Amino acid sequence: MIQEIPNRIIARLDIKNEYVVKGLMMEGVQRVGNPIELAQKYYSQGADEILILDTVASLYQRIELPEIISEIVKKTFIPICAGGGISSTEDAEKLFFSGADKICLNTAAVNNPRLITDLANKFGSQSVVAQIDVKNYHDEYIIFINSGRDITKYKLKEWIKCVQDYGAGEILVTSIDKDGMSRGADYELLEIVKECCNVPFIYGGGIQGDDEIEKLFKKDITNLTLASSLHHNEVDISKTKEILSSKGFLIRSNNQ
Amino acid sequence: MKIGIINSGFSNIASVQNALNEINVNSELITSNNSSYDLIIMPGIGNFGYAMESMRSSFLFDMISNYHQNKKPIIGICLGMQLLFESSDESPSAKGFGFLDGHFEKLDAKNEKKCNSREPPNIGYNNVNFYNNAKINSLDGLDISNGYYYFLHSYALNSPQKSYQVSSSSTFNGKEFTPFLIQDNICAIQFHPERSGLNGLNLLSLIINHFRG
Repeated sequence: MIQEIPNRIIARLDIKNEYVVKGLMMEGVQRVGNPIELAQKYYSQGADEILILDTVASLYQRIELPEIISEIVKKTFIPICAGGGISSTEDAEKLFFSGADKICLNTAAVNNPRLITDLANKFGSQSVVAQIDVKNYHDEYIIFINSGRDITKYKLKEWIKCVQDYGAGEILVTSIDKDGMSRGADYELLEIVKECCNVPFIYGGGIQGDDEIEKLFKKDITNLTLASSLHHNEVDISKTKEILSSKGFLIRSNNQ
Repeated sequence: MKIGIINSGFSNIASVQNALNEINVNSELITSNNSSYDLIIMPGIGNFGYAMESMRSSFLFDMISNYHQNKKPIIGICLGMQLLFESSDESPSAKGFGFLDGHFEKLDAKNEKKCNSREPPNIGYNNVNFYNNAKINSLDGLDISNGYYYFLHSYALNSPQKSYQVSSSSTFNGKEFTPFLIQDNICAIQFHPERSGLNGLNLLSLIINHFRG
């Protein structure tokens, strides 16, 4: 059967105190811009989705995203996935009402995996994304929470199985080791993810540019998040899509 | 042209309104039976039976039925499309508006033996092929281009009928269904034009211009 769903390039915005920030390996963050302007910019370039994450929300148990999202959706007409600090169905509801199409859970899912099921039952599993931040720790892939600050007891394989069993409709895997480095993806990690995921998965962390996007697509890693490479103008999604489309990959272009 | 949006109580109403603003079309939410509109849009996320039940228990059922009787344009999006038909596997005992003949079936489950086979729901950008039949030309140059549109649904109108004035097809797990059609005063859209980038916005303006006449 032919591929029905095109490969996706997702623009990731990490938010701290109303700004888009970007760090190296989830630390030492720098401000890179205004979320509403950047969402608009990447939408215009042809991003397939916007992923917007509040990087400090779960530390301070607060949610500031809804206001930002309700501004973003006025001018951005692609799906929005939002997360950071969601700890209840009420938090998720606020994000959906502000215009998010999907929500993603990380810290709260580790603390209470039942929340994935509750949200999937209420909003449909397609709207619930499990965000998995993973780090190579003593030769073992281990799950971290609170934006990479705190280690958990979970290993990658068992945690992927767990979030799928609880009803996550999609999985977002970020390599903390590669995050913000633009020095290449974690291929060893991706082999494990590919093997374990039954639901669609999205990968982010270290993706360098067009050549590497092509390499990942060839390996059937079809959904990618880009952050640093976009913020630093190393990748222009419209040009990237043009190149990949001409090479025969299934790509959604802005003007068809 | 006065456009009213039926308030189905969920977030995509704002998305639809934002998309209309972007193409310079004014709209308002329908809150009572007192105002009259030239065109109504029925967005919708949720359950078929539950949505029809809440329509029937409010002024909306009679209002929408009257609009149809008077041949006023109605655009149904996602669940809003499904409600315009007779019934759905989702709620076997519930009756839709029945303005068009047809039944919505659950999308086929994943077939492990087929590569690229997917578990429903159908989520993401899917290709839509518009049938290029002669009748399209009669619709005031309604020039729709094939392309990717954003879907989020578990039930579909299978076996696309080419006999609609404008019709189209998409596939899920290789099986064809109808993602978009126009017949007389009805425009039914399974995908979300308000979430489909420029393609979606262009399509929305074409439809509204078509009904504006």
